[in-house]
Amino acid sequence: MAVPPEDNLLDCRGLLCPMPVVKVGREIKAMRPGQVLKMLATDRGAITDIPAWAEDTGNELLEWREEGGALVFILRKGPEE
Amino acid sequence: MTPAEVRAAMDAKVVVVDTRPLVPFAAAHLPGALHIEFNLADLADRAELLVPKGVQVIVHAEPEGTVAASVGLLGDAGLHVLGDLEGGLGAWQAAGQPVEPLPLIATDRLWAELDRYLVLDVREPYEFRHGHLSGAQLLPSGDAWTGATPAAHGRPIAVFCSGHARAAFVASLLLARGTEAALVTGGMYEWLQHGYPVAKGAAP
Repeated sequence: MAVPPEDNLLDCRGLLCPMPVVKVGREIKAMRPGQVLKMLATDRGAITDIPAWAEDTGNELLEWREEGGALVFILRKGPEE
Repeated sequence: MTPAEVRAAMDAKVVVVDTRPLVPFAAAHLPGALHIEFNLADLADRAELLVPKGVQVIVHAEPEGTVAASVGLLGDAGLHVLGDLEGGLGAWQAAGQPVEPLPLIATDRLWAELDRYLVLDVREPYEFRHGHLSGAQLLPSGDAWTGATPAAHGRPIAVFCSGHARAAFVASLLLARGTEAALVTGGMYEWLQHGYPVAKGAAP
């Protein structure tokens, strides 16, 4: 399945753990269910933090990859509580 | 502040926040100093998560180019910055003042000697549930300042997070409070890279 285009882009490159996941939480809160967030990070802690956070919060991690020296995470906002 | 002035403030229970990179901090730092690594983009945000507002601190930053930004960003985090250590660790040691190390443990050594340590996981509860080291205790880094020191029953505490940023702060806080602690470098990211096992589920 093709990864959908993002609605919002969040650049967390250069931020240390746990700031990428903290900022993703704030960003997603302001989005609507089903919208897609693309997040860029460089701290490798995000590779374990983001899937755990997504599972816990009912959001969906569609994909992550390394691209151009950064980690790219594609997340879809889950249904509102 | 001169080393003598910093010493006097430390004797009056003022906290030293050390923003140098991890390796020099681990080698030698002012006794009781807390580690919050300098990063222009997020030092204020991370400090705000770790230390209550209004706490009086002295900043130890090196190299010189990070001093003013460290002072400014820790102030932005709501800390009451009294000043910074002039001349850095060189001046401190030249004044005959003592230093202490922060022991580091690589993930492969922790795996080989897991029974020797109490593993203290300072990540958030959702990270812990997703996967943690068997037998680990949970103390999220933001709760460490006010939280009780875990009962380690004679074992040193190995402090663990996803990389090292949060764990370095908590390990330095435990040392400052007189508990034997070490920092696991590489954290969960390296642990999984090695293929070591993790347990699932909430903290007891």
